[in-house]
Amino acid sequence: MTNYNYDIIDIISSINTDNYVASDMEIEKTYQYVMDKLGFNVIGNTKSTSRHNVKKYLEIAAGFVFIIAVLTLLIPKVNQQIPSADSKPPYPTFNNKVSETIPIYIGGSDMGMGYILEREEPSIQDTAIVLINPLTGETIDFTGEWEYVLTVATGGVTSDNCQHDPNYIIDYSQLDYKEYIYFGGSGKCYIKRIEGGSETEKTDMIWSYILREGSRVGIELKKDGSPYLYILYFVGETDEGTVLFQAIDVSGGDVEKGENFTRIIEFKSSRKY
Amino acid sequence: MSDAAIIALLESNSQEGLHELIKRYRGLVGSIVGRILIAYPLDIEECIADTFVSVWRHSKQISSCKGTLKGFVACISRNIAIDRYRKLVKERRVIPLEESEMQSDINIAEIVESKYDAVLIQYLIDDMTEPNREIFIRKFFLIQTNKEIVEYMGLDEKQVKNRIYQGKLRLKAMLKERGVSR
Repeated sequence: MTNYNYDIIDIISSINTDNYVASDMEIEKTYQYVMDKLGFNVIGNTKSTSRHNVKKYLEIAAGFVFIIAVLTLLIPKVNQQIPSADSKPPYPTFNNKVSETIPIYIGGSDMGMGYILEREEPSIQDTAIVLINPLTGETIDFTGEWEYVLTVATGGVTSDNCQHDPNYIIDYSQLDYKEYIYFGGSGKCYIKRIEGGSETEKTDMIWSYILREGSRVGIELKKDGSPYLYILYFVGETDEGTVLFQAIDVSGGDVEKGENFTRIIEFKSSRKY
Repeated sequence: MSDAAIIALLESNSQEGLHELIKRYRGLVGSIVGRILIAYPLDIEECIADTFVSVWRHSKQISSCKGTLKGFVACISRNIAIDRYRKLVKERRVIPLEESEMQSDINIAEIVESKYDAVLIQYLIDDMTEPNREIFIRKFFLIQTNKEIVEYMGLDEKQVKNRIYQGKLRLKAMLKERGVSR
């Protein structure tokens, strides 16, 4: 744990440090941060409870682990249905922004419930988007300042974890994107405004991150505000170098019976990694 | 809540235990981390959180050393902050120390350097008597200013400065004896 000898620890323990007192706000902020890092699924009330049934979130969280296990068994079967990279995607794609919902990546290897992204309107353009911290109900309103928001759970909880390396984002900051990308999860939050740039570059950046991280499990909100679970995973690379990612909506049916995967979303990157 | 109660709570109810731990030591950890990372405030909150995560992870180990929770918390926070500091320096993401430390008698670079690492200070404090020992621990582990040490310990400022100076000379001599040159 440390290189310290217990004598030093003993001495420090005996020293009076009562003057070091943190404010209630500091304590609560740190507590929430730590909870997030540790991936405790503490779900508090959110601001707009009229649209989002907290109970639903709790139910989803409770079934989270089981669903992942089931999906792990089912993914190979689903893969066989994936269209080739050359065919026209039968599903809404991320690139052309006709997806019904914005992808939200919550949780990761530690199953942390990071932030829930709430969309007030179904359309992507001119939408109202609020990031809600389920632990506190605290909201961050990005309305009108971005094209879309992506949350990515970085997974892991250690400070020296390479997944938390902020340089990864910094490396791309030279690109002139017009977008907010929120790299969160496990308490590590980077919100970076990136302006300009092409769609291809933008998606390359996002998906190269996902590729690095592997599959993702998350919660997304439907048009009516109800949440559903999905798993996003790296499918593979075509001969042309296109990388495919897919997300499966698993909320529509009886997961235990392996039925009703209501939607498969395909994400493609034109860049070879 | 006592340290023993916090450790017991960490084992029986992690979340509540963590909350009590943070309530008790957020101030101390914030002070240590804040002073080491004075040049990079954006990293402070994360290092504070990392400290508590680490304590939580090692709570069983700590529980076997009764009465030392504060020492563990302080040392872990110091380690984490120093690691982060070194990383930031390597990445050249810190502002020059001269600018950030103008208002303080704390030389972070000096503390971060290995010559003041725990092992060497251990040798030093083994030879020390009180109050020199506490002064050194406060200076190089709790990262307190001379003024704070004076206030906490009720000593004369010149006395504190002199004892720190003498301690440094002694450390230098010890390093020389071990063939370490700086």
